[in-house]
Amino acid sequence: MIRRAKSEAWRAREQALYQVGIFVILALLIVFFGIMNPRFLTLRNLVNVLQQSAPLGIAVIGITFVMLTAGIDISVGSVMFLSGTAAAYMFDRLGVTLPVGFIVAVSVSVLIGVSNGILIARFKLVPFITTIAMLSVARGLALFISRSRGLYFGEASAIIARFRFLGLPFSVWMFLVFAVIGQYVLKRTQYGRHLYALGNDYHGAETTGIRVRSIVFSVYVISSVAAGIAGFLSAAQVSAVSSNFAFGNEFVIIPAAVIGGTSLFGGKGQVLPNAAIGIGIIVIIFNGLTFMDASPFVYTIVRGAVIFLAVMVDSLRNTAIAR
Amino acid sequence: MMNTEGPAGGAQRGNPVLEVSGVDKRFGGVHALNSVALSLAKGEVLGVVGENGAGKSTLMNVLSGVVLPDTGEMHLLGEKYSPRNPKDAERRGIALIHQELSLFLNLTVEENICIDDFPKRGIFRAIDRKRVREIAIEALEELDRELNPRAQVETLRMGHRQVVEIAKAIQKNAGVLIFDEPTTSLSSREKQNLFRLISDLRSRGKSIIYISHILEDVFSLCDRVVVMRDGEVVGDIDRESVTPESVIRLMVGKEFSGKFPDYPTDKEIGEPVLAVNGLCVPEAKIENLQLTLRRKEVVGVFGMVGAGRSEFARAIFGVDDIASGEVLCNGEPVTPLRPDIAINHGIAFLTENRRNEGLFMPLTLQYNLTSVCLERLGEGPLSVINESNSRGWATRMVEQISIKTPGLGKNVALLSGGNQQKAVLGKWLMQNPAVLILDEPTKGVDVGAKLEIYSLIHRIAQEGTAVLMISSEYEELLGVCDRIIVMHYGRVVIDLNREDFDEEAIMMAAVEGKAAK
Repeated sequence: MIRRAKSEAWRAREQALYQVGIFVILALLIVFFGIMNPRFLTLRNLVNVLQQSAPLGIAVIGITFVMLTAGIDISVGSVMFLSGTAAAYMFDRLGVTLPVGFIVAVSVSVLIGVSNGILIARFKLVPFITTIAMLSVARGLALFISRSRGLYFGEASAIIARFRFLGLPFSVWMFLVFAVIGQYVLKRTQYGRHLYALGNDYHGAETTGIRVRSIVFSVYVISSVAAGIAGFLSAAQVSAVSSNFAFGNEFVIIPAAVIGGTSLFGGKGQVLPNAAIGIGIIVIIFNGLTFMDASPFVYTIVRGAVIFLAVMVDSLRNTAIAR
Repeated sequence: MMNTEGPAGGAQRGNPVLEVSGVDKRFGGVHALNSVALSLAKGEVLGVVGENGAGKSTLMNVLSGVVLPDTGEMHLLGEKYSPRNPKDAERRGIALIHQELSLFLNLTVEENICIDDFPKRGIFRAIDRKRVREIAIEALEELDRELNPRAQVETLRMGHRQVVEIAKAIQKNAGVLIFDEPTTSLSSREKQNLFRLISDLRSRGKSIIYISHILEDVFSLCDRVVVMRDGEVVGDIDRESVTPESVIRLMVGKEFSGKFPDYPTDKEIGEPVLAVNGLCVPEAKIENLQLTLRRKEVVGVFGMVGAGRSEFARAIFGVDDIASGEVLCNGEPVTPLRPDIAINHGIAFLTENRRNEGLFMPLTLQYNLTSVCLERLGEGPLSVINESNSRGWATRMVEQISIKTPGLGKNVALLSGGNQQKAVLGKWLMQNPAVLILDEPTKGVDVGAKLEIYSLIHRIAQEGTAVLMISSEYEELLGVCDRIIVMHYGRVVIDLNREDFDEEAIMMAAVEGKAAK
């Protein structure tokens, strides 16, 4: 009802500004930590940062789909744990080959995703609560499998670790592949555009004839599978799964998406470059803190502060749009 | 019923594109459409006017498949037409351009135009973006060449968004376009542009139904005007013979007797209680508004959609921010102007939206009735609420205003609309307010309950409360109020005492924004 005084051109510019803004923040962070400790800027460390970011980045791509529908998936950290544990169990106890372990990891994540999807899309449960419950269930299942003892990836881990292409490790390439596919699906397919539409106006989408339920169902499966693959890759990197593996990762993955510009209110965000920048910013902060010899207890506080900031910026951008 | 100017007294047009006959629709006890007949020719612009609640929107919802009629027949291009949903209507070529546009703000113009079915290509069934662009450009071609198909809709002005909505309809080959109050959020330049567009569409053979309460617009734009009242078509007038007076005469004139309680004869209006001085609310175009309310006085506020009635009330109660002005209650300024301060001064406000703002739906009747007077129920240093007092108060109120309920423990969500409304009233009466503001107190309430609410309003006023009653039904204001003020775009046009009440003057003021001579 109330008209905005701002011109159309200015509004378009405002959006572009945010896109540039996160690049600037990323650059500033790199410069800052580089000045604090020059060893931060070594090629070795930068590859290390990429390697740490890549698996989490895949999970961020997955959750971007969920968040575009104005949903949320809190269970991603636990799914990483469950998928890593399931794979490690196969490698450690049954001595299966790499592909078999991978398939098992993906299968259990599909299972969790389908459950989330059915509960949310079919039975209309609130995503937040449903996935919190699933967080608990998935973590419990994983602990049930491992009996809370460490499990080892063994040879599978070594195969992945040996892989290098153009100097970059396997997980980084996986991330790039998923990012390109994710971006393509969101931007270039009808499914993707309908996903955005429903995130903007659920009822509007429904009356337009968009198959809202199947889309909502699908995003939870996508998110879970992405988290599962993230769990597999990240477990392979450390070659073992301990009982606190991926604990609290949902609080890295969700803020990373938000920092990357994906709105918690739905309908806004994308995979490239936002997901990459978002996770990059968070991993760089943690990595940089280690170079500054920060107390280990500071990390959780910083993580909290980052969440506050991300959510505040998202909220401000949204009220700005409503005005 | 009064004079009905028979169906289209003018030139015979070709075969009608759309023909409607005997369409009936009831919502509960409300007869929203009463055997409505209508015809629309190719390349015709048909205006539909009527006061709020006359059935215009229901009729358009029936045409566009949002609402299914109880009985009646519709024919589109000679074939039977009975849309089951908006999708159906669209497929047959009828598009409704909503007041609130139904675009996806986060998508681009071209994506919105093609959203239903994107052209695809290749083995991955990717969207054929070149084709999307072509479709959009083609649809926009004759509407607005300046509009960038790649712009995001949320960056566009309202006028441009509307153009996108029209383009969407054209792209789907709609032959009939229905505009529902399209100018409410447009600037005057955008409005001129829209009118030019509508004329263009007409010359391209599209048929248009144009609903608006701005008669001036309807007269300048439409070939024919249909007037609705109480769910019936009461007039169908050609452009040549139409005048504002004749249309307004048709819009008013309802059955009156028996719908209202007797007006109290022994009424003596007291001293001023509430004074509003120089109130300005730029968002609602309210500028320098003055109002005085006296004890025992019931003042009605009437106006069309967008006149700023509710905004006015919300501003007095401090719900919405004001730019300037003051509110005095019993001579004391209400500052800061906030709901809690207003309540402390004895002002009570019954919102239009009782489901969301007036009641705590999942909670009990007792809880709701006592929710604004908890302070007086509290005992001891911690203000612990005395349950038996609370129960006693609530019981007395239920009896006093005769709310029909199996018990105080009943959830208000389970009460009927009329009883819910009485519960909101009761909640505020617990406070013995000096001023009671009622925004649409009988909205969604059946006829019997309405009568009870009117009596209740009289009783409240008799006890010394000044009542400000906002309504979009002028007849209930005529039946209940001591004074009526009519608003038009944020300004008070006329202020009439009961002895000067005149339906046509009121309608003229609300519609045209000027006092009749």
